[in-house]
Amino acid sequence: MEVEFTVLSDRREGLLRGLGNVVIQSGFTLLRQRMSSLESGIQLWLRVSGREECLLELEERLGSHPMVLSFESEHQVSPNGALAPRPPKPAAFSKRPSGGVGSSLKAGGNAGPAVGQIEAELPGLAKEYPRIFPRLLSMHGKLPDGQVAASMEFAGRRVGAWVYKRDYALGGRLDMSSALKQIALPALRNLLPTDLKENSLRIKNNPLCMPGGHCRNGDFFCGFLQGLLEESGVGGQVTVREIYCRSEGAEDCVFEIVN
Amino acid sequence: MIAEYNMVLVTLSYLISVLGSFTSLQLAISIPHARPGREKRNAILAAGTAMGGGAIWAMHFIAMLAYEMDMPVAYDTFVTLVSSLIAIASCSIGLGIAGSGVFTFDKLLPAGIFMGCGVAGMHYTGMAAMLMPAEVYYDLNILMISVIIGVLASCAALWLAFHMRGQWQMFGSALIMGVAVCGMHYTGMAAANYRHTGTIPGATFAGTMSGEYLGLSIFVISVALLMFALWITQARRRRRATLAI
Repeated sequence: MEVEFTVLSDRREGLLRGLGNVVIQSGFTLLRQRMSSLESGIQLWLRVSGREECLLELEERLGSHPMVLSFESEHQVSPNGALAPRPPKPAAFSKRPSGGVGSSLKAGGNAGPAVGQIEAELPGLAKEYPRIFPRLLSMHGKLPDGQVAASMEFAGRRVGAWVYKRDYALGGRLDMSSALKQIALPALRNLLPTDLKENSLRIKNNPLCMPGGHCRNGDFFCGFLQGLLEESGVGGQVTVREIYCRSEGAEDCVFEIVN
Repeated sequence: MIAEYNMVLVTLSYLISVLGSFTSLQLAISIPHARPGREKRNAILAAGTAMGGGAIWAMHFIAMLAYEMDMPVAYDTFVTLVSSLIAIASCSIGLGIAGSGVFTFDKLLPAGIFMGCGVAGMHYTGMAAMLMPAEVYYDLNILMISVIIGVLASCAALWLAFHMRGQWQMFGSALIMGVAVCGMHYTGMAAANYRHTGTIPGATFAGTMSGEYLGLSIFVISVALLMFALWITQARRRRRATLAI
């Protein structure tokens, strides 16, 4: 049978290769593909062929892939080539933990990131790195209300992945605790004073979270750490949560990383 | 037998081992990210060749030139070639182990053993290539210490190269690997005792290399290492500047 998938992602780089591997590992063959940029992200259309009994496995794998925000599938049900649409399936959002700042906002049904707006800001962030906070604050103020958290997390992921590739890619693949010490900690210290205690990173004077603001704007750092650590290939699902926020009276913003 | 070291060449031997180690380890840290198959194989071989042929082999022969003995010395070409192949093969295996999958202590020890034994294997085979009117005897205790120094310092260098990031990774690993190579070599030399025999093996030194050929080989290797190191540094700087976010 032949199946068409339309996948929405927040990253272009490595998307086709990553999903191509998923298709092959599920016993399917990739026939055609097309990638395009949308306001809401990167859309990848795939036509694959394979055995019907493997379709569920393929959909499960796509749904749990870290680069997939959502996808739709249409599969051939009759030999004459008619395609029957399937309902859209939520993918990556469903596996984010409850309780985290970014995740709780997304789970609440808010819109995804303002990809176009963030994409426009990314070259400026790269140019000004590591002095990115003025631009981040300005960007934060311009984002549509319902998309602030997702957009800041998206920006963080992109910056984190970029920082990893630029500064930390060369070297051995590390386990989580070593990656936190050798990659995440120095990368964050390049931005703000930071300490590491076990699996928690304590960021001092986070300008995105002002005391008394009750804002919990840790999304950028959640995304930053996720992008950094996922790109480093620590393996498994990297989850970052802001467990203490100085906007709510804590001394520092503390981020917990779970693998 | 009267022998003494030329300290200028001794210093040069350490510098060449550091330069070779720097080039090799900079190549080696890209092994984990090379695509499986040909790309990974080439990355391992390039790093192993720079380490075995550059850091170890070239250092050894500079150090041998630094060891001024009161007798003529030449080197059997075939055994000398074998000594370099031992170093390249061992270092390639060691770096291949360190660069595959997640870098853990479980990988560090076998990788360090291969690297350290590569240094020692090259050294003692290189010593066996010496043709001179003397026989060499080794103090086994010091010999063992030399191998242990090679293995331990190699482990330390690999740990810095594959586990750390930044300046320690870049320069610390090369400086420590230089200590591994030189520490093993000079300790190994301290284990050697010479006894004059009065006869030169292979009466006419046929099929041998003398000091001038060695000097030329070492010069070519050193320039190649230096150029390679500069090229790697420049290429990485360019890549860093152009990497799109």
